[in-house]
Amino acid sequence: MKKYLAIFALGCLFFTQGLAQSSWKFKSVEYVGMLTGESGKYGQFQTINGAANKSWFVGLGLGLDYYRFRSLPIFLSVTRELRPAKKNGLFLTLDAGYNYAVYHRPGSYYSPGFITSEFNPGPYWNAGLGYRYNISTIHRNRALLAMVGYSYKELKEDAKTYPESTFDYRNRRWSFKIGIAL
Amino acid sequence: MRKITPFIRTLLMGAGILLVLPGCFKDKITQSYTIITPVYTLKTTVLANLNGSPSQPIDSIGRIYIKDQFIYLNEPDKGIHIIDNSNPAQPVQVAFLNVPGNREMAVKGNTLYADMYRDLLAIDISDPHHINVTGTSHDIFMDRYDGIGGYTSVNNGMITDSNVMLTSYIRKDTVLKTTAPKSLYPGGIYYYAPSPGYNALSSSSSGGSNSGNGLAGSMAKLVLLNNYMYTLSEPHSLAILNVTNAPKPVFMSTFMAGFDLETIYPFNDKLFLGSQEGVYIYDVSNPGNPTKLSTFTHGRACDPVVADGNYAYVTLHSGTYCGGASNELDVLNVQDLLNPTLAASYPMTSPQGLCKDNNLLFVCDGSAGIKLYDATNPAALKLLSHIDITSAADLIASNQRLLVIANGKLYQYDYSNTQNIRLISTFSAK
Repeated sequence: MKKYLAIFALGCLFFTQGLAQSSWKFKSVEYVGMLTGESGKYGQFQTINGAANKSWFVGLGLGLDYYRFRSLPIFLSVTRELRPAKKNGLFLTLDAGYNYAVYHRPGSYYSPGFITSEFNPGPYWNAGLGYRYNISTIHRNRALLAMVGYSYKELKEDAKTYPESTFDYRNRRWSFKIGIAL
Repeated sequence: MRKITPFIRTLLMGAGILLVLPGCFKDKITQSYTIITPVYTLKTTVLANLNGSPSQPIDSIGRIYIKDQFIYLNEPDKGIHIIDNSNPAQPVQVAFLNVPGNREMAVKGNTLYADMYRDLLAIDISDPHHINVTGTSHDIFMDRYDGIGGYTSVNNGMITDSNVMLTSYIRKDTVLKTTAPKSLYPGGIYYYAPSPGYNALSSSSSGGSNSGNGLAGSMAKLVLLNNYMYTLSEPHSLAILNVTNAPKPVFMSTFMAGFDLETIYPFNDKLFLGSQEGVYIYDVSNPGNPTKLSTFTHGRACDPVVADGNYAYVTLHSGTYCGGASNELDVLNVQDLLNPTLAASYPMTSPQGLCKDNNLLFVCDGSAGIKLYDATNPAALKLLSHIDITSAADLIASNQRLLVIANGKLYQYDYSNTQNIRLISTFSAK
């Protein structure tokens, strides 16, 4: 996991340096929100960093997703503003990537350490419709954001129990996020 | 204010979704596992087909035993592979004995003793291609399950026919929709299906080198000492058989010998029993009537034991069903057999089998490889070298040759130069 975080940080660094000489401008979006589905309501946090040009925003996202089993989604995010000429307006977002569990199932009471489980990463994606409300007259990118959408995350769990099994969790949730774009 | 209204509207829409629509999407959770179905075969059919194919692949290796130029490799629950090791650089598989439920073995003269679930077979292996069962002792291994009495849907839920035995399993991968398990408990669920084949088939110093017997590894539960066989009948009991007439073993008695016993190591007229709690020392100068001399207790762990005249060497390893947290090599001073004491303890990674050849001590130590010690002074073992082979389970050292079982293969080394242990061959019939 540390390796992926380091790659993510390095990628962001080189990316922002390359942007200085193009029409693409660096943009960062921070979200906080909720996920709701069959398993209940859970929190989520995301930071998406990338470049914006006219109506497009492309970035790399890193999140914290508490739905069922806590996981770290790492994804590519693409956003298209539907009415770019307007200061405020609707936008569509599509995120796709992988999510890595940061959850460890407690050991069995009867035999700690012998009955174990190990989570494996699985695909993650999210599609949403949002509204942006500009909060700066100088910086067009600075805005409050609100978004609703559908979110999917999958995790696999290899369980050393009887019978030795692999559980596949395909979680389908509503996603609601509010955020700020900088 | 009018400009922010759509923003607030989006917020309210999101809140509405959270409150009203959480049940719209259903998570899909599946559990993948293997259904294991037992296959039963008539005992008469099993005994008639003990001679398997010499080229039978080896999927896994359990015990190892050597006698003369032959190596005997147990494949757990399947049988015994006989390897001609006349040329250690090129061992040749010469026979496979198809013995269901086999875990242990020993050889006296031309007679191979092998457990077949609860029974002990005496097999004449003068010609390994045409073996002959010369004797059977029933119900020696009381803790072994032969499929009889097991729960299936045949015969109203129980297999009660003692003329059949469990010979193999059919495995079938299965996926079912389930809910998320809250926690994992051992033994919570056990899938056991009836056998579709039931009706169709209803038609050195290692382990006691003495007087014509072979050498066993340190994990052995069945050993020969002169004209007697000692084996663990179940984890608390030792069974004694008289094998003076090798082809016809005679059961003598079983007695409660200790708790959670795991291994037996014979030395001179003594037996060292490795248990999960400690080491039991028995005097067998009267072979049919062993006398308990002492017990040395250590922390709970899985542990084989080997011994020489003055010291016993015990490895303890954790992380298994045995429990415990110790990973160490304990050296016991057994000069006074009535009062064994701890002479030294050495930290290890995950030690298992071990063996001793004069002053050399070999220890399988999990990912740390095989360690070779100079045991001239057992209270201060000196590490001479190590063999870079992981997951070694057991070994036998004899005549400057080391036989190692690791990762389903048999490795042979020349340790005539302890500073330069040389790999002679690797054998795998997979």
